[in-house]
Amino acid sequence: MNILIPHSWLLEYLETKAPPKKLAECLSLCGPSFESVNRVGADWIYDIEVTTNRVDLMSVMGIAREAAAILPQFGIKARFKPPVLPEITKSSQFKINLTDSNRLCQRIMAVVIDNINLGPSPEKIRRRLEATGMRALNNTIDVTNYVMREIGQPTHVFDYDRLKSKQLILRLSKPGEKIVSLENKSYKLPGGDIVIDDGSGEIIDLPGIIGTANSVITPKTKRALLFLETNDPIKMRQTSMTLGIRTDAATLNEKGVDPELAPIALKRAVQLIKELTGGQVASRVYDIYHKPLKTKTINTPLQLIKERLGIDISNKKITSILAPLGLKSQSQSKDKLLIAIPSWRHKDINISEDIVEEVARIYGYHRLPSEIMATPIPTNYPDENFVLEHQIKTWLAGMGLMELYTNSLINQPLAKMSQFKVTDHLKIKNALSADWLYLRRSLIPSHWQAIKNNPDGKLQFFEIAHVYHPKKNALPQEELQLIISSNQDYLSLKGIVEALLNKLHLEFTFQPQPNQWAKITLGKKTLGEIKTLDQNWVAVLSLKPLLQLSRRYPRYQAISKHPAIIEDLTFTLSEQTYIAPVIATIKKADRLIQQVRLAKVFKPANGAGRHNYTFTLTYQSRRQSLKTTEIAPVRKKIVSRLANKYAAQLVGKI
Amino acid sequence: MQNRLLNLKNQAIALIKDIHTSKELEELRMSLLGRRGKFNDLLKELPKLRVEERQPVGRMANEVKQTLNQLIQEKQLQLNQVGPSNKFFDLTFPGKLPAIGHLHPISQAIEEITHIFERIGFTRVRYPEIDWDWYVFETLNMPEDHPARDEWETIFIDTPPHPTKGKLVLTTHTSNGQVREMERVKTPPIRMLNLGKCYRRQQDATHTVMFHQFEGLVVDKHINIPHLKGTLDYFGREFFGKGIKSRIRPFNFRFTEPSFEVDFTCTNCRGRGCRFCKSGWVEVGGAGMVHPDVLRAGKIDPTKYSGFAFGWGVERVLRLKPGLNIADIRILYNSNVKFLKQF
Repeated sequence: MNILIPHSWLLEYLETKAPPKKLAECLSLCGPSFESVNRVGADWIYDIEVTTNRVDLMSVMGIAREAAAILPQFGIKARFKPPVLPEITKSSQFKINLTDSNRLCQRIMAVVIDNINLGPSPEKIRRRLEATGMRALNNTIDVTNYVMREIGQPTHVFDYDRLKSKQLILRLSKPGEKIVSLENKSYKLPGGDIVIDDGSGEIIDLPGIIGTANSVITPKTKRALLFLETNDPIKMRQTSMTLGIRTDAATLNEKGVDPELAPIALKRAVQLIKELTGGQVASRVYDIYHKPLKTKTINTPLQLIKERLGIDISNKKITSILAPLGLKSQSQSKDKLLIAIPSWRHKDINISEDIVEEVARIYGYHRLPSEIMATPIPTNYPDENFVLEHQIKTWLAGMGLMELYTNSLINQPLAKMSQFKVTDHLKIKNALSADWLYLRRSLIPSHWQAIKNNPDGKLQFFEIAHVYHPKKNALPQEELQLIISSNQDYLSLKGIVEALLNKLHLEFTFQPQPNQWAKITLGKKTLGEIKTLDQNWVAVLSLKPLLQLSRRYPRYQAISKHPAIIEDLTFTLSEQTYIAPVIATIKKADRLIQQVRLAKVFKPANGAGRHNYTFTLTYQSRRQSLKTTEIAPVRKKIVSRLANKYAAQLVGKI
Repeated sequence: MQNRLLNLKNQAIALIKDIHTSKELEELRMSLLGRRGKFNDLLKELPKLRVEERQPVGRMANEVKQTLNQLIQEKQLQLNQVGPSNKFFDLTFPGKLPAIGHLHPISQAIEEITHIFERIGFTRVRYPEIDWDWYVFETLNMPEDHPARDEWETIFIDTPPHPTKGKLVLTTHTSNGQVREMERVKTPPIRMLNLGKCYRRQQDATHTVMFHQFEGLVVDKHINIPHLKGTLDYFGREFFGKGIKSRIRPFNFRFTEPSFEVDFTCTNCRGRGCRFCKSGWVEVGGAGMVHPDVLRAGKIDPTKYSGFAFGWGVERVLRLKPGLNIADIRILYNSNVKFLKQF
């Protein structure tokens, strides 16, 4: 949450000569982040980001206190000027009947002001409110907003005369009860919200969040009831979030405002309202305080502070850093510091580490040393092979492919394109758009889309990503897959897969299946598949088994010193013959056959009938130079095996 | 015989002069001095000579052979030197490009980040992208309905919650790896780098529903704020270049105490302050000292051990690389060939 504060206003609570830019720089390093400092007329406006745990900084007073703790660390003199406010002089002229029997608010304070003279606020007040992003309305409402910015306590004002029963009963709403806000918007309450009832069942306020039209001041208001509460942050958040009413007050109240701020804010509001409207206090000061804050102390080991900061900081320095923050060292033993936590830090300081933070940040993170730890280096690695994963990517890129990162979240049409039912996909409960409704179980549809969405031309893509398979009562199975997709011919895609598997030293086979797809197998294991999709080709491999089965190095073969004999053999085969098993049969015929390469295919002119395949064979022995007479029996073996297995005929004679 | 030797020598000298390639020279050497070369052919006639003629002819033959060998050697040396040529040869003609592929910029950044942290002993891990609320929020000190959860824009899976581990969510940050790593390692030391895909309900020029984060977690005895600073400075220098420093400022996260925001020197103006950064610093992500509750959730004794953690977007640091100020990061994930070709 952000707050805008004019420098001139800050100086009412802070005595310093720090130039605004310097002040912002110092505070950003040690406290809330000053996102900008802008000159507006003779003044400067700070835009400050306050973290949700520091609602005490959402005020001029809070920032001033923080500045007074930080600036001296930079050698800049600064002193916090706490508010000095007159006690409220009571009267018994008017009364209200205020009840909170269910203890819904931690604290409620109220006072009646009579003889209000409504009118515009003075120039100074109006300008300041506008500078902090609020609209100036009239001298009574402006006071409530002004006090909220200055002190940090949201404050409300009722028209006293419009409260017919003079009863204010805090209760929880029933589901469906209606209110009309001061902006004349109607809301249906979800139920369980804290409301103020006038005794007749009518809701006359949504405390801590927004006023209702039936009780707020009007241009005719003469008498006002100043009213402020310390609210239950959880209730505030529920109601404000459910109704979508995100007022400044709600934002503060849901963070838990310090109950000790209430009397300060009330006194300041009374002071201003008297000054601005000429009104007078006309009742006693109502103060229901159910659970007064107890003293809270934290015992912090001095050694912990020194150890976390990594420096030898003196005890005296520690206590002098903490004191301006209101963190008083109550007692000090040899090794521990008993620190009293002020009311405005009750919610956010709970453990010794919180004290460490206060000391470290005010001392200055920028002043702490910087060094890489010299502790032992862990060596129990998880079962992953990120190196090889990246190596695969590098190889594929080296072969000319382009890597994609497509979204794991897909729409229904893409889910339908996978081999799984749409209903068997993990579905998003709160999808931002129908485009991101399911978690994919296949990478293929995403790549089909990528090919379709790019202009024509040669496209060869790859990606390594998870697919997500639902499991009953367990985490989904996240399967790492490699996809290679291409709008080129089948053989160029297959060649890429072959080259990759060769690089991984895997002895794979492509096993054709009906309907033009093939399993890529290694022994009995299936590594993946290659198939056609809408005139494109894709290969998908499950990465984990691939990485596990791969070899980092080949089984090295000694290079033969003896020359090889190379010859071509041409066979006639029937037209629907898968050629890979034929090549494998030739290769297996004899140990002297080092290599079998398909050199050429002759097809009959009309494409039908038997085809001629020419194979280039390399014979080589590791032990001796081969003579042609030694090749002859090998050749015979090949011819007879191919004849038996594939009814193949050798073209020519042996 | 002597004349024929001289002729051979003269012919050879002329031939050697005209030669332009090593291959031609080797062919010439073979035809002159090879086993079946002209020189040996001549020598075969030596026994036919009279005895007194043999010695002078033999001596001359040796001289010729030496001379030719030397000339050939010199010629070879001359050929070995790339000498200027007068012939027109267009050295500016476009080269024949090999097939050039492209690693996705995110892969390149992930690889660089991994190497940087591995050099200082970090172990890269992979934890679920879809995980229980327990690891994503609950054990990180963010109980259900805590306002701190608002910051995360969580995406939920439409399944019944687990009885003890809660809802199934898409990880909004890599911090789910913190307690998981403590459970895996059991006893420190821990120097974890968890790097992976995350998801948030946000899509605009600087956010994508799917994005990448990396998370560092160090737990051991006596780990302190200077160690975090040292690690951040090291990363800044290695990833962004020399002269880039890190800075930590106070912040608030539920799972670290103290918590920090991490800035690096702006790579655009190198810290002088520019339109892009304003202050000379660029905010990159969050960090902090591991909260004792988180250590406890990971069954590590916070009185014995302490730690730090940090986590930022890969896209964020990639965009801060000089020259990569990508205005709309959605282009990273829409498979646009024209974009990816540049990397």
